[in-house]
Amino acid sequence: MRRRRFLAGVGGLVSAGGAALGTGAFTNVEAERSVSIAVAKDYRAFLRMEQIGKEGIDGENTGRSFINGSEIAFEIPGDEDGENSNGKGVGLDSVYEFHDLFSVSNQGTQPVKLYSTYNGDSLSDLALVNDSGILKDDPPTLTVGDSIDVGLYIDTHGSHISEFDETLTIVAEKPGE
Amino acid sequence: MGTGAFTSVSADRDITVDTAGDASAFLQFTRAEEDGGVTPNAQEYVTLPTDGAFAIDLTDTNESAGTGETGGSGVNKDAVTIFDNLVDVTNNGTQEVNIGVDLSTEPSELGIYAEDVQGTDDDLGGGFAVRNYPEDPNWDHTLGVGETLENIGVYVTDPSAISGETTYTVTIIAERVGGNRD
Repeated sequence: MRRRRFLAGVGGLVSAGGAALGTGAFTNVEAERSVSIAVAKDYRAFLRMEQIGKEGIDGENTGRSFINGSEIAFEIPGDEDGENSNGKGVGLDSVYEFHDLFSVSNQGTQPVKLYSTYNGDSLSDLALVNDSGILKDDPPTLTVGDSIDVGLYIDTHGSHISEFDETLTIVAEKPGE
Repeated sequence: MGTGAFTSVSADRDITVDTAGDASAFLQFTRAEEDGGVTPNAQEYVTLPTDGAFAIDLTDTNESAGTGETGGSGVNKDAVTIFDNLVDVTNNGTQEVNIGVDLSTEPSELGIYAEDVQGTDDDLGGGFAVRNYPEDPNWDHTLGVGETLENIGVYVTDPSAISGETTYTVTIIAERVGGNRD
């Protein structure tokens, strides 16, 4: 999609107030301005997130990552042919890493560091991971146009047998923020 | 395509995670089988709840003892005791993995082995242990998708180092062949 212009028209209220007071002093101004925001699907957004397919058995999709509406979502185990149907879930008191589930790329105009946060309490930990480890204390920096493959780190210590619906917050921010 | 300046993005995404008991997890542990049935050692010494993790209990043999009999209650002193055929492990993932016990988590008074390779006294942990994980691991066992490593057992080499009843926790690692490789 095309980036929309930031529209900064002068609102009528400002002009009216200025005329009435006749000085630069004002107590209150209400000025309406337009900001155009386009909401994009994850795979076309400034922080582009796109699932990696064909990574399962016989080069089939596992379904562990998929597009749900406009957002990328995850399901462990996946429900497509490339998943191993004998694996019903991650074991308890374990740390599982599922690498290369999706790619993240920086379609902005400046470098960003990429990491995740998890505030749930059903799992001991949940995080983004790549081959250098979890994206937490020393997160990688994506330069403009850069892309990395990441996956999920799931720590089940102290957890129990269930199906958990969790939320992972994926953060990309300017280094040094 | 989207381009534009952003200082920070914070995106919440949904993840559904199923946890499973050891008997049906991606890395599956089951009581060792032989000739189509659970081995006597696995029946006696391995607990595996359907909704939990397996454990090995070498403290007594009361389940095998007949009515009115008293079972064994521990390993002999000054002896090496071997417990064969306790657990099988199966790769229910989607990639070939190397597998073993992290040697740094294995107490020196016992060893864990697989498929009859028990190592030697000066090579404790031979068979199923992985040395130098994760820097430079030496894997002895590889499991393809759906493959099972059979006959994981325990041998107690130094009972004098065990005081009374002691519980140990060891870490089993399964990692895709080739390790980290993006």
